[in-house]
Amino acid sequence: MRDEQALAALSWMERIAFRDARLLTIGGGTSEIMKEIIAKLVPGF
Amino acid sequence: MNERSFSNGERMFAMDPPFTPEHQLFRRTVREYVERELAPHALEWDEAGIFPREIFRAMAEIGALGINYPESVGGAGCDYWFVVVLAEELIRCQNSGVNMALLVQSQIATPIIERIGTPEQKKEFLVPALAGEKIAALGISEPDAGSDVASLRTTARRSGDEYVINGAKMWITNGTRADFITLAVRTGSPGHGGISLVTFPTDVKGFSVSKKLAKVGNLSSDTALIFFEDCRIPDRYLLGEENEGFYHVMTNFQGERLVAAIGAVAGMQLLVEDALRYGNERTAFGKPLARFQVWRHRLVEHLTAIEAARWLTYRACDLFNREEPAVKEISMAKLFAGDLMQKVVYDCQQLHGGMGYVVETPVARAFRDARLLTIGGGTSEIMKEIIAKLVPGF
Repeated sequence: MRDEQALAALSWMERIAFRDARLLTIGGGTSEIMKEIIAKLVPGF
Repeated sequence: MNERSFSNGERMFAMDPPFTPEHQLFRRTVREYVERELAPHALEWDEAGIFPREIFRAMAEIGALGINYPESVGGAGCDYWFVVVLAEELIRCQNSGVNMALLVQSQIATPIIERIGTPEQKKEFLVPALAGEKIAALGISEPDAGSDVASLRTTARRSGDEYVINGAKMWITNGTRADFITLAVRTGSPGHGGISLVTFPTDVKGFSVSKKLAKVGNLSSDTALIFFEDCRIPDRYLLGEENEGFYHVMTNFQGERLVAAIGAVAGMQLLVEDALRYGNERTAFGKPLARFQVWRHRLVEHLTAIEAARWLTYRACDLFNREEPAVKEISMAKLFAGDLMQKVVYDCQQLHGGMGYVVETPVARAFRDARLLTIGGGTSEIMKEIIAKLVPGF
């Protein structure tokens, strides 16, 4: 039972951390695009 | 959770905007003085290993030393946001040693006296310190006890109406020329319950400065190893109650760590602005360095992190200003800002290329000085231990 719970937890971690969360630096504008936007809004660049 | 809580139930802060026109007027006053009178001497004072004693008095004259102290002791009676302004603007002197010495004088060695000192102690020590007439130091750390204050060994034994002090203190800023030291001593049993605080005039027989420590950075600030050999002081110099000093030392650490975080954030901002200015002047392969994506993205990453550090620090300042519990937030601010500084100063120096390796360049000195931020006032590792103790579940 404990192994099954561990596997379930691993599956949850895998889904959240390595699959769904990956979208956060891509969707809605990548991190690189964010940096370009910020650079355009900071005097000096 | 209530209507003034974050989603995790923690207390919300009320601080928009933190700076009034009065704060900004003070900012202009400090900035003008620092840029006109201190910054031009930054390199010279580093090379000399000291800066003129008169600077303490001059800073007092512009109202900087006593800004948040009551008028009864020569202060201006202002809120903590004026201290934030002071710590942010002092950075512009481009000399971390001067910056540290002045903050020790006004925000680290003296707040305890204001908080728990007698009227006589305030008159003899605090008032002249805030007027820049006496130099103050804080004597907590020892060769074998830093943040582990409960292990300190310097003793103060009662003898009639006097204390007889024996021991040594290490890493004492302003230590070679302090006129008095706010000193932590052991008056009772081992552990945190046997610690007291006293005001200690350095002209007492048996006191000696063993040596001025040769440090990696903060060169213009004198840091000393000092000794006490059968030093006799009157028991009226006891601060607060006997054997209750530990709590006050711990409380005092918060102000010390907070000004370190404030200064770190302001310093990082200046470093990136300076790097950007240089990056626009210096060209390579036909275009300014600042136009290369590798630098644009790296500096933007830093500016984003600095902004996060600033608001974490301001949150800690807001709690501290309202005299609410802020140990976790202050520890987080110092940890985050101190660690971030190491990355920011490295990259800003890197952008300067060879110029960044020459000590005439402010970024080179900043690289050397910034190392203290993860060590002084409690290391980053100590900050993590404190935070862990304050987070449920550890």
